[in-house]
Amino acid sequence: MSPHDSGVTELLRRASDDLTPDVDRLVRGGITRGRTRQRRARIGTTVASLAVIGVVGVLAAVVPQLDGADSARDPGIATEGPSATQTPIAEPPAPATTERALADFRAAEVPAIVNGIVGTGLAAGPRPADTIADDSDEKVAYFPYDGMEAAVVLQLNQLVSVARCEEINAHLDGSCIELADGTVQLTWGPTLADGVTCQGIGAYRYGYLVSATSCNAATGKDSPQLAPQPPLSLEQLAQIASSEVWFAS
Amino acid sequence: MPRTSEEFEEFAIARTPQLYRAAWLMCGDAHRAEDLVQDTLAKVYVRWHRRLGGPIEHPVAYAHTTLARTYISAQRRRSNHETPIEHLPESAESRGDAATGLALRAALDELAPLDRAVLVLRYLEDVSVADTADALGVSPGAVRNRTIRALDRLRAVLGPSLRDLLET
Repeated sequence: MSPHDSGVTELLRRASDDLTPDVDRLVRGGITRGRTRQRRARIGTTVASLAVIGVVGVLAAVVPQLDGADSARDPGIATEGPSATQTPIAEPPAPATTERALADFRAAEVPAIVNGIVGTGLAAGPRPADTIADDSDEKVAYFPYDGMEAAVVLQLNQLVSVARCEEINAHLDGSCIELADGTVQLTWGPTLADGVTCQGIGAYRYGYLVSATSCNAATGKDSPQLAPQPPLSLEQLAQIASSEVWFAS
Repeated sequence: MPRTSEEFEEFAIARTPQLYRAAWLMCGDAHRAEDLVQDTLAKVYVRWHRRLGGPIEHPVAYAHTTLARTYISAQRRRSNHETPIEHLPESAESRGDAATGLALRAALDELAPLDRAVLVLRYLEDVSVADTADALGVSPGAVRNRTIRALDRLRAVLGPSLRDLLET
């Protein structure tokens, strides 16, 4: 390392010498989040295994009958009489405030999934420099959509209320609303920054933040604009962020 | 054989101050740094207890790589909305240690997230170019270019010579 480089090291240390983190609290928080991640991964594995041997449908029919008296039910679904046992009724999607595991897909498959949702066929596979993260409980996929940068990110996030959404995302100058199923949805943009216009939707649902973003340039920063607006509209981004396809059934 | 929860806690307590320091320099914000450290510890916790794949070979390096990757993932979503500050902070020369620290933090705010991560990994954590490239998912050439660019930017903000600042 050159003397000049050593100076940078010393500066970085000096700039952070006075920090006094609450180590115990951070470690406790990390362990709690870690356990939540473990639990989610196990749930996902169990659901996948059950699906393989074909018992999910059976469970779907049986579990409602095993629910206690306090369970939330759709009042439109009969719980007594012959029809309740003879005709299984498709369960509506769980409220967005419940926790669910991610579906079994790879981040590299996200463009194809997006094409399936919006029906355009304009999403292409990730480029070599695109960020891809492929954990069992986190997916990050940057990819070109009609040659312009798009991204879908699913990350654990225990939000929330509309007020908390607005607080967290104040810097985005977006708006937060609560949808009928309990999803808290953030809408931001179109915003011009670094010469590129981008917009996005973030949906806090099932214990995750599902973000869908579209920009009007090949990359989100310092890149020539290729269209007046991002190619994915806010409506399409909302479709992507609110899709059930990301979550295990 | 996975390591135990007690061993993880010991490791986490020992490493958290350094993880937080790196997180703070990357994020420039105490709340986001705390969030980043907890997310990092959570990911290491899961890997630590995983039965398949054996124990983590180099837990310290693994934790810092996880921190950098988690930071970059989060920043990619934010990067389109960051607003550069309109004017440069005053030069920190001859203003003493605390002022130097403040000026450096302001200067770091001017850097792209990936450039900040490169600087922190290379100069705070003393990670090699190759390992930095691996951690951040970019080429070694990109690490070198970003290092040069980041140092140039720091020089522009902090004054003609970073080394001079150390002698104030």
